[in-house]
Amino acid sequence: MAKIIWGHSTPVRRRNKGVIFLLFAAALIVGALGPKRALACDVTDVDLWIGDTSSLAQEGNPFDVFKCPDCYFGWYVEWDADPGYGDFNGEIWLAGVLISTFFADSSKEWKGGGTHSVPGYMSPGPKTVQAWMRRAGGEWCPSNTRTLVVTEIEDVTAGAKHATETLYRAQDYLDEPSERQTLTQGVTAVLSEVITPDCFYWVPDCDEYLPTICPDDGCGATFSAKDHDLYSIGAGCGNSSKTMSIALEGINIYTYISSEDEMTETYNIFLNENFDQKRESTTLPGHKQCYYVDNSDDSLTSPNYDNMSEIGWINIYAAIYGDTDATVKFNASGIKLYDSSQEHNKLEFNTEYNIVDIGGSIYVEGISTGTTTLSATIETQDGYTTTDQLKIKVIPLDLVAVDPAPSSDQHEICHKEKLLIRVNNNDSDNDGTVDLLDFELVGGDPDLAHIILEKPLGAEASDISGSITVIFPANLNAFCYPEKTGGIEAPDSYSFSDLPFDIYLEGKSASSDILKTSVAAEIYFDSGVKGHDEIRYTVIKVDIESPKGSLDAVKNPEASWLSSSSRFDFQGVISMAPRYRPYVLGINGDIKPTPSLSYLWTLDAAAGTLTDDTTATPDHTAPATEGQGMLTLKAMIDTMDTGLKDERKVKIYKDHLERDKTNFETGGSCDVGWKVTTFNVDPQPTMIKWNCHGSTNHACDGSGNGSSSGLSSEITSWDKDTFDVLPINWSNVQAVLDRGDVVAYYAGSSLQHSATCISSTTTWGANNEPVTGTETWKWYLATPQDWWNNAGINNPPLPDCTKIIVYNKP
Amino acid sequence: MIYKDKKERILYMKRLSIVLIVVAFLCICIWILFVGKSDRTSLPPEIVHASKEFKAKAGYRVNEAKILLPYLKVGMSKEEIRSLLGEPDSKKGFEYFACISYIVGRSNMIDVFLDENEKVIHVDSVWSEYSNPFERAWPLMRPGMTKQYILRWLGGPQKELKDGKEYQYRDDQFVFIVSFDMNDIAVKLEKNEI
Repeated sequence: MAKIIWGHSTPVRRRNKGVIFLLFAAALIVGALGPKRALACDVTDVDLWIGDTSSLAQEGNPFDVFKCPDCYFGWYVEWDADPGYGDFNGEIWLAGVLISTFFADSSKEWKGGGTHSVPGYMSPGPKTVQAWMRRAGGEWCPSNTRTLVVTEIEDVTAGAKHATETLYRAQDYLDEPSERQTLTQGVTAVLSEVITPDCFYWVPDCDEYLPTICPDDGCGATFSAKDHDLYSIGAGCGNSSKTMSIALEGINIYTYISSEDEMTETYNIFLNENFDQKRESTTLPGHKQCYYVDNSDDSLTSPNYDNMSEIGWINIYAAIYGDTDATVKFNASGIKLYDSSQEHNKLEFNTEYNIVDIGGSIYVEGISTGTTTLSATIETQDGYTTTDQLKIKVIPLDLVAVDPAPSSDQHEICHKEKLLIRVNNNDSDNDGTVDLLDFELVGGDPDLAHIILEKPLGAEASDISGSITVIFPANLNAFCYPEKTGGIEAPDSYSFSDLPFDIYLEGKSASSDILKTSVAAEIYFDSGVKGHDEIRYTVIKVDIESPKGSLDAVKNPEASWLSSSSRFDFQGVISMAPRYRPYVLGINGDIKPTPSLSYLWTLDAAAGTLTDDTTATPDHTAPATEGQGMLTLKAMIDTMDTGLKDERKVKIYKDHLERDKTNFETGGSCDVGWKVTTFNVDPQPTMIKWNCHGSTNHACDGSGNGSSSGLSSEITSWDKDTFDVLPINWSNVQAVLDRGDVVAYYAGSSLQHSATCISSTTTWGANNEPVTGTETWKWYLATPQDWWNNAGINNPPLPDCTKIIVYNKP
Repeated sequence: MIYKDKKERILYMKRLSIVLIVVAFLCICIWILFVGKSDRTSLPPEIVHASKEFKAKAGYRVNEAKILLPYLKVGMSKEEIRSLLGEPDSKKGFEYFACISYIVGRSNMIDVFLDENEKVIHVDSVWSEYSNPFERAWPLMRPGMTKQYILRWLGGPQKELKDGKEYQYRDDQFVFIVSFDMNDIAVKLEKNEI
């Protein structure tokens, strides 16, 4: 062919091209009309009907038929012909395409019918259907023509979304399937023709189980579903179809509470009013560093991490099916929300957050007591919303410091000026037992701190898991009653019904530093969230360790007796007295905690003066005249008086004689095992035997060991009056006697006895009872004459006394 | 000696052996009672004389007492004291010891303190050179005594150390330390010169 065309000159080539074109056109015409159809017919009145089905065609359907590619349609043909010869052949043509042939016996009925599908490749639009009949070997004769409209599905829509897209709806009750209502959405199939073909269908169809699309044979229908899911829907007809998706999104905020109970039961969290974050606030006078309560700012992490066990933790689950544009908004009151990022950013209410950014959980902080409803509303990208809710109860836990009380509840860990407890080593009820060891103080012990564990406001017993615990350290004792009865062991647990509960705290030993003794209450709610409150005290030991005894004590400890000097430790002697032992008081105190607390000693002027009065061991200077007064040790924080003090009443005697006579009295034993019974000392100190000279020496200047073979050199150095003319002129003796003088009795040069004058007539001392015979070994008062006459002479085998020397006290 | 038979001879020998053993035992006892004792009481003549005089006198025996006192030692038995001083004029019992006393003169006695085994733990007299009553009482204190008992005789300590488990007393010359165990029983007593 190429040679024919291109192998000649241009004119010849043009001629050849024209011939070829004509031949090709003629072939097309012949091919289109068919050589047979151009001939005369011998079959007449060929009538063709088409319908959705063969029977409808046979019924004589006069209308156009709408069919999608691959859908079946029915056809029916009747015809006439001259009788007599030959059977019939028939053909059905659709849009010039032979789609079916049939055969008819001429001896039978001259009609035929059947079904055939629209070729799948057929383009949409009206198509001509025509039948051709002929007698065997005869000419082909045409029927009338019918129109079959080929229809296609061009789109499906739901809301604003089209085929291949997803409509995002929102459905309630993600967590409660039984509560869900059927959600409906209108869907439309867009066809290329106005008439819906009978072979049109929806997927899903319209049966009894959701999801459904009903009616399933019309292009306008309703999609129904109940459960959250991503549904694929489609419209089809023959081999033409379109699909899209409908998502039912939902949101669920959930905790351990079952879904059906989350609006009747409460998720219980703590009113976060403690100080774990240590966010510094203004420190007022008399306070240590104070802090803001944890829930007063918008952070869980700054400046320090909060105790996250005190923060509620709620799960968020959103079924979004790829809707990354979905947002969530929260709303509530009395709580704050934080996201689950490391920074725990605060989530504002009524503010849209991308649901993807929120993550799987949020943290809930209680800021005011009461019940609130937390709602989380999800909004899909198509503007649909649904909300889930959770009832939340904010519960406080309050351990209230009643007495001493801080300036406010928010200063219960920092009010160092007020929150003080003394180590309870005094004797508040004056029963002779130090309070720490006294377990029933009638009328109550004023040195106890009173706290109350309050019943959590708004809470019910079922809100609490287990019991409420009170924890206090080992340097405190706790009691149910101010009389120190009903001892409490730490940690102590209380059931909800026990509350409110009074607790009385006793200082047992000092704190390690200011406000370092913490009394705490802990509660665990049924949510697992913990509540915690605490009060911080300073337990202060303020203790006068020396003197241990006191002039006015109802019971002085045995340790108040100083064996080495045979006196009580609260006894001194005036500065003018002769001295052997220190006549000043040995003062020693102990204040803890140090160095935070300091000493301040005071002494009533009548009892002397103090120097170094801000040290543990001030120096005492005795007064020039006898007197008594209160020695006080005050515990100071800087220059602030804590009000906690210890006191001893002390006495400064005019001389050692006065002190000894007061201590040893008259009539009691001075023999081995004798006891000191004065000043309510208990147990009573036990002494070894004191003889006359020992007591005389001690009454002079506090010297000696209580037993002596003679008078001290101090005494014998004094001026003396000797009476050795017998019989003794007692008037002369009496004339020289004065208080403090020593009367010594001699047998020749051998000292027999001595005693100290307490007046111009009477002596006092150990073993001074004027008896004949066996000595009685008693502290005794006697005139010199009595002693002389009864014990000094005519008392064999003891030698008779022959001389008295009176040593005159300077 | 004629024996009726061998059996009688053996019986005789047995009796003889028993008699010999008893005689030997008696000899040993006599030696212990007389010879041994005389060794232990072999005191200087002036002491023996002073003892004799002390025991013979009553009520006023100052000179004898001064002579005898240096021979009254801690650890002696009560019997040894009695052999020197005779029967005491008075006796007193206390929780951990007893005291027997001898009158020496006016307001003058010797007090001998004995432990539960009747051994001397302390001798007290007007000539004892203690500087204060505490030092006089200190020799009576021994391990095993309760803290309360020691407090009663010694009075309050100047210092309480080791959480009250050590008491410290001081005077011009000495520091006295009493250590207590967990049950407040004295376990150690020390007297150290300052």
